[in-house]
Amino acid sequence: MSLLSVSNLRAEVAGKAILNGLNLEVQPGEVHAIMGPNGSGKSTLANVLAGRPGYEVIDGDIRLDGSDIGELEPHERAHAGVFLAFQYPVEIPGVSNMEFLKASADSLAHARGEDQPNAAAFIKQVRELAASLDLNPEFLKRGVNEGFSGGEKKRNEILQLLLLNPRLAVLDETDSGLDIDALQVVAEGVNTYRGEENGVVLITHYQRLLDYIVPDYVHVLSEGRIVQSGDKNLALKLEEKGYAWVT
Amino acid sequence: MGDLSLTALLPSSLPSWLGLSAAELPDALQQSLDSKSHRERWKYTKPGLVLELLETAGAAPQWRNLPDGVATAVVATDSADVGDFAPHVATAPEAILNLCRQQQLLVIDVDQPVAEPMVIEYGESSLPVLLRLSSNAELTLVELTNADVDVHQSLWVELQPGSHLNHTRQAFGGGSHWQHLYVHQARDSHYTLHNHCAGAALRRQDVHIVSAAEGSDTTIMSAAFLPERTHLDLQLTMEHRAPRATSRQRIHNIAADRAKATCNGRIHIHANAAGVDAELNNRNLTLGDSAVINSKPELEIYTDDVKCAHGATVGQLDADHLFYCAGRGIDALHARRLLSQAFLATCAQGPRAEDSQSRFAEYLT
Ligand SMILES: Nc1ncnc2c1ncn2[C@@H]1O[C@H](COP(=O)(O)OP(=O)(O)OP(=O)(O)O)[C@@H](O)[C@H]1O
Ligand SMILES: [Mg+2]
Repeated sequence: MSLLSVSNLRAEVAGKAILNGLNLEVQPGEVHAIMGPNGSGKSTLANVLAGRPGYEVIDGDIRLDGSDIGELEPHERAHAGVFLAFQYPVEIPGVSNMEFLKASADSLAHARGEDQPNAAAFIKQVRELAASLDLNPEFLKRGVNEGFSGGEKKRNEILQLLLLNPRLAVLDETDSGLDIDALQVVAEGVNTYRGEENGVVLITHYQRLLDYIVPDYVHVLSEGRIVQSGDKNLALKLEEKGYAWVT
Repeated sequence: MGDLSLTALLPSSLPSWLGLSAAELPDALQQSLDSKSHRERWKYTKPGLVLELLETAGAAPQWRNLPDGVATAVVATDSADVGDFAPHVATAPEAILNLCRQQQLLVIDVDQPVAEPMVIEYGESSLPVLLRLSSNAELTLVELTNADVDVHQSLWVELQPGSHLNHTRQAFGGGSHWQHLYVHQARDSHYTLHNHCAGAALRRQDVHIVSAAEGSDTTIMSAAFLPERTHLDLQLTMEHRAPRATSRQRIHNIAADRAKATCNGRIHIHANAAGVDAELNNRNLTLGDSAVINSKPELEIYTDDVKCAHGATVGQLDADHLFYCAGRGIDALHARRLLSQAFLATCAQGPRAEDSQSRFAEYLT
């Protein structure tokens, strides 16, 4: 059974058709890179998978481990195992990062019928993850993403990915705005996460990222459809020839 | 405010510092009552309710501690050195009336930097308090009005050059409260108000800050939660009479169903106050459809050479914040609680911040 199965997905935003019959199958252990021109619908796909209000599914279905998640509330999808690393993570002043992470971990544990993580062990784990991502532990006391640089916000998304260890990770341009060192740190984080138990949908504009996170498949999205699929060599070809070649 | 009830409250003899005879005072009061600004001030609170409160004689407030460097004395009102306040008969007649009616006044003098915070607790209506910080003196003052009783409370502050006052007003009591505050700032003085409160049957807060000399600095951070059917009417006046001073005001309110939150934030910059940098921001969240928010920014600016920013918003929680929480598995109810707490926490700072934040958290669970 596919980990993620998207079939004939049509979706609208603000009354405008954005996804026009999209199909995607992700098996456990696979990394699927999604590339495509600006405005082709990549972030829309990510938001539709995560159930963002305002993104309306008109037709088709979304299955996670065989069950239809298309009707679930966003937090229920998170409980089911969907994780979206945002292209533009929001700042939430007044809620400390640590408090936010604990609330999140507690909610997910509760949904799984597990005990809440022990507070001291949890803090230790978060601090270690922060260190492994070159994030100053001081940031954990600050508001969620508050005053973070673009790169710090992206690393914070990866910290959450590693901490929450979801079934499906959808990473929306997590590489954008990163310097070369941060790119490697983020890629290492994703590679650490990557495993037989989960799947990754990796949205990116840059072939460079795929040198570090080697995908099993590369897809090109154009006007709300996947118009070409291949292996990592497809990304190299796109780099060389541009999108005009496939769209 | 009906003049009848006001004059009925007049004491038989007036303090000499007022400079008005018993015959003249009613006219002076009446004049101020008839002014347009007066009607604005009393649009959202029935003045009669405040006058009723003022009928009670005040007791000397209780302080929990008397730090070294702080001196207190209860003095007769008519012999107290408060003549500078007399002109307020035009702008805050009820506060002047209260000064005249009370026979006594608590005077607190601070003449040096004092590290230990001074804590005053109000369990009942109190005598007016006059707080004076001499040049370069420093104090942290915490006023607590958390009992469920009716209280009137009035604080007059004089800050001499270079002095620092870090002031917290915490008011979670549920009765009827009139809280008056006047601050006069001399050159290079620093004043910070942390106002933490809950809505009450009546909560009327009058705050008037005067930057009287160059280089003064004023910060107001105010956070309030109004439970169902409660009231908060915050009347803020920041008056810049002198050049090159700064003021920052941030007011965050959350109103539950049928609660009524008013914030009238007035910034008055006089003609000679060049180079002033003043900012006021009032944000309101409503929980429930029938909460009422009145947010009225008022600017009176008589010079061009100023920076003045002014904003007011009324709304619900940010949808992007809610989605971010949901995306991490936090359900809507829990997310709302977290975000509402955060909204108040950004303005509930300073001494007692933790205590106030946990009180807010209780309302939100
Ligand atoms: N909330 C919205 N309201 C209106 N239109 C939207 C909204 N979100 C997306 N769109 C439109 O949908 C189309 C697809 O946008 P989307 O963000 O999915 O593109 P993308 O492939 O992620 O682009 P980029 O590479 O620039 O990130 C665009 O035309 C965009 O303007
Ligand atoms: Mg995008």
